Amino acid sequence: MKIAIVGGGVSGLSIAYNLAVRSAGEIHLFEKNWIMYGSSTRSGARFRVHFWTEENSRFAIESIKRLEKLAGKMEWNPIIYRGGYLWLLFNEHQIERFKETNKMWSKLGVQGIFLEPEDIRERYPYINVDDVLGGFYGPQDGSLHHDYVCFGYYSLAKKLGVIFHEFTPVNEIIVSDNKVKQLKTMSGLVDVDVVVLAAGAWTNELLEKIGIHLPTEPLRKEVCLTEPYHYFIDPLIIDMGSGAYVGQTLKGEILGSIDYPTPPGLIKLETKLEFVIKWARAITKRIPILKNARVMRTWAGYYMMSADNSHIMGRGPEWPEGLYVAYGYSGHGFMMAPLVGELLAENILTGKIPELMKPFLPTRFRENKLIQEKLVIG
Amino acid sequence: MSLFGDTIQERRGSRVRIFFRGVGVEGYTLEPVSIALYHNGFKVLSRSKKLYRVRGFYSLSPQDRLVLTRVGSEYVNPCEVFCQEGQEAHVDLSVPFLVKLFTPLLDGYFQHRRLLKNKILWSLAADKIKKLANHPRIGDIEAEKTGRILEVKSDVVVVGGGLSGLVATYTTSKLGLRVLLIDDSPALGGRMRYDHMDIPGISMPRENLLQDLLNKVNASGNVSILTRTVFTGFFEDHPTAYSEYDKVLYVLKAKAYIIATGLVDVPCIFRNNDLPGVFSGSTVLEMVNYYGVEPGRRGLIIGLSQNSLRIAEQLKRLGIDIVLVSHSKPEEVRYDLSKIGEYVGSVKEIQASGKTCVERVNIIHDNGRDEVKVDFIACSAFSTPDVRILNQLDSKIVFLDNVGFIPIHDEYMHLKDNIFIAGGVSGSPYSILHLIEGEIAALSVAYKLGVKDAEPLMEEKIREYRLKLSEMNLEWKNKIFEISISGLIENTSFSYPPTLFIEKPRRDAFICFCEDVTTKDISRTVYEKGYRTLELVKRSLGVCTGRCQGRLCMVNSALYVSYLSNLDPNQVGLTKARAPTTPIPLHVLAGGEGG
Ligand SMILES: Cc1cc2nc3c(=O)[nH]c(=O)nc-3n(C[C@H](O)[C@H](O)[C@H](O)COP(=O)(O)OP(=O)(O)OC[C@H]3O[C@@H](n4cnc5c(N)ncnc54)[C@H](O)[C@@H]3O)c2cc1C
Repeated sequence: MKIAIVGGGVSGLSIAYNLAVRSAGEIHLFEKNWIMYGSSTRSGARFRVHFWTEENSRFAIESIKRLEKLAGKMEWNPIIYRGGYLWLLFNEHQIERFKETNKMWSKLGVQGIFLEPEDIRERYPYINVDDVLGGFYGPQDGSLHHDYVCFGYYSLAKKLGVIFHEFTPVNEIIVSDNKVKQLKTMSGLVDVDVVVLAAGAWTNELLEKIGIHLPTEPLRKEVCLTEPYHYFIDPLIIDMGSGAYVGQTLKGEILGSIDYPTPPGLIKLETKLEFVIKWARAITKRIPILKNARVMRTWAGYYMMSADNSHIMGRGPEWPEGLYVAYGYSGHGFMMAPLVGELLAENILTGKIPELMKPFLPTRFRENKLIQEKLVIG
Repeated sequence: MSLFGDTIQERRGSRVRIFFRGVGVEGYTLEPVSIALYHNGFKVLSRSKKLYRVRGFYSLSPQDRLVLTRVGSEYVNPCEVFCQEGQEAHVDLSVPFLVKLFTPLLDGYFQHRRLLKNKILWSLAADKIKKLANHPRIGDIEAEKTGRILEVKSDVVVVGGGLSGLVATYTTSKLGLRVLLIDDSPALGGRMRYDHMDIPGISMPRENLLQDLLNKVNASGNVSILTRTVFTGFFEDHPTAYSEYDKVLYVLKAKAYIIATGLVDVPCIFRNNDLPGVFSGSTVLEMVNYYGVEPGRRGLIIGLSQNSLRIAEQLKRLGIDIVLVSHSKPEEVRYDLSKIGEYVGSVKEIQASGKTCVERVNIIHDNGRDEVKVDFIACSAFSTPDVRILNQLDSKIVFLDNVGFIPIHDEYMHLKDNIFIAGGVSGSPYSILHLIEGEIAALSVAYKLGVKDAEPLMEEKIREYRLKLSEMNLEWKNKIFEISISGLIENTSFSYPPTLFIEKPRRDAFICFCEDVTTKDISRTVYEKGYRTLELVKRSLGVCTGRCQGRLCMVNSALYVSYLSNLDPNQVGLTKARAPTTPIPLHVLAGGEGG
């Protein structure tokens, strides 16, 4: 079997590795730029198991387990670190919502800890809690190194014989008799039996050419990074009041972002001063000693938002035979990709749909079985 | 604006006493702390982040930020903070026990050694590792200050107050346009500020030329000037500039921009090239000629560029002994070097050594090996346009062999949209060209902004420019203009990195000083991992991601990767430096609101 994966982000790389490790056949990965050009190296590099919905929480728990297991095999240390997530809550409604959902999380074995403002001050003396009503701390959450995870998959996949075509965009999928037949690339037509679209924010460009429309759209998200400082912020701090988040990388840089209105679509990946100012104001209010930290760099990437803020994997029954997708991660794809790769590989090779994958099929939009996920950060 | 003082004494300001690690030393109010400390024999200003190597300053540019030293309660770049009475500076020279123990492991790959791949070992190690890097402590930083954001409107912004920038400013203002001139140094003049030799091709002596330009610029009612202000790049909504001195972020609103930021002396790659006492060539001149502080008594100058020869000659006149070294065979050298100093040619490898600063240099060349005792080293083998601002704009930057990475522009000095360039940043090697380019850029801007009569003047200058280029045999400039029209880049052959002075990759020959990345690390990335684009090398090792944002390492990394992998540097490529190109404090960005 000849399988082509379109997109060299964490999604495509994980799928490539998982197919190769199952000896799926001849696997080609096409990337229009350098490997991991897309959102995968532009992310905040955090993972969490705390989602409003059981589907996503379950999926994330298993996904991180997969990554940790794989870490021992990778040539690269994915630098997984459980620094926790700390949600700062500002009203009863928010607290209620977390309390309610914590029941589900407890059932899954990932219950969090509720903190009073004094507890927060004691544990994290640098946080200004004057207007904070409480906090929710998820000790199971943490960070990883997005470049190293990608490199890790990349080198494992390469060793297993995956053929990488870098700087090779796929322009079109050629379908006949409702079967995928060929890919049109700048170096010519390539025959294929299976195509997996994992082209992130660009996936719709290819899907729509063959008449498939899924309710997704790219949303540009910007990030600020400061110069490195002596490590002191363990958790990712999410300010549910201002919509800002901030954390520190193990390299010492302070990284964060804030809700900032940007029109949807594939708009240029640049950053606005106005956005940086908004973040600076929110974050120096929350952590006053950050005032003298210096913003060293900013960048932007796309969240590929789906209508229910959850990823889409698999295929629709009426789609051309051999066509699969794995995208629409809605801003939390890095943590989901390890399991997506595994389940999708099984699905492609056996035709069976693994239990954990079922809620995430593309058919859910038509069947109105949306996942009610609202906990999106940034 | 600070005027060009007449004497060094005036430029240095009044004498004050500052303290370094508790020891009182003499400094001057207009002298950067780094210079005062160096002058008093304190050359180690910080330790590097990962390997804890002793480090001094490489250049005086506020954009480099290679060392941060604690002054008062804040970690600052000692090159952009000026001496004040009673000021206390401090460097912690201790090395954590664990770092000492594991130094042999601490290379660019320490993050993914087998030991650390075990889940439990890793989580134990991570708790230690996260605190081991030598970074400033944010807790030590005063949180009281509040900076400001100011919006400045102008017809034109000129970035860089060297020859081409001054000419561009003056020419634009004469045409009735309002100009804002921004420079990151304490005073205008660019290289002319400290390079005291006359400029070939310009009959007026350097001093008069500079004074004349400054007078014209100052006399014009249309010009505003911001010195000690770094242009920090183009955000999507606004270009910005930041003054650390005034703690002000300027939001720039102009109809056109002329980038005239000159050239950066690229660090040379040799063993222990990170020792205190290794400087950029221009910095050595700035030290002696502008601040009156000698870099040492006997120095090694690397390279045989115009820059090297000018530095050597001026140092020699001050009685400083010079040893010149370069790749060129002695018999191929066209200059008479005997009056300047000793010359060692056909150099293959340079190894500096010394405990806390440069003390000796071992030179391996075709005919054997020499050891010379020197107390400083000037890197002037190769200069490059600082391409970071330009590649933010997605403008094409092309490598030409024996020239370097050049931003693609047309002969109207137009880069793209409303951005123009002039002078060294366009790659032009000679001052006489910088002068004409300054005028052309100004006239093109005026033409674009609809100034009457600008067009004939512009066309006339272009004719003069073409003539000069052909007189000077600068074929490659025409190639650049052609590419600006055709968009076609030919394959380039690549000879040898002009800054490379090691025979094989070494763990003590650094490419990126901010992130402690060595030639050994890069060679392993290229050979073992097979990464051949700068984007991937950057992501695997962290080159171009440190405080200088690639200003000092981008070109060296790209050329070194090309050299190792035998690839055209255009294939290896550069990486995008994103705004801000120089870090801006959050309290300034918050503009007094928030915290
Ligand atoms: C600012 C920001 C912060 C984030 N923070 C987090 C976080 O903390 N945790 C988390 O889990 N997730 C986070 N994410 C989300 C995460 O980065 C993405 O969900 C994830 O990287 C998606 O991976 P991907 O492989 O689907 O897409 P991408 O990484 O975008 O990869 C798609 C690739 O496909 C290539 N491609 C596109 N079209 C074609 C074509 N026609 N032919 C060939 N190749 C093509 C692209 O060049 C690209 O390399 C964040 C995202 C952003 C933008």
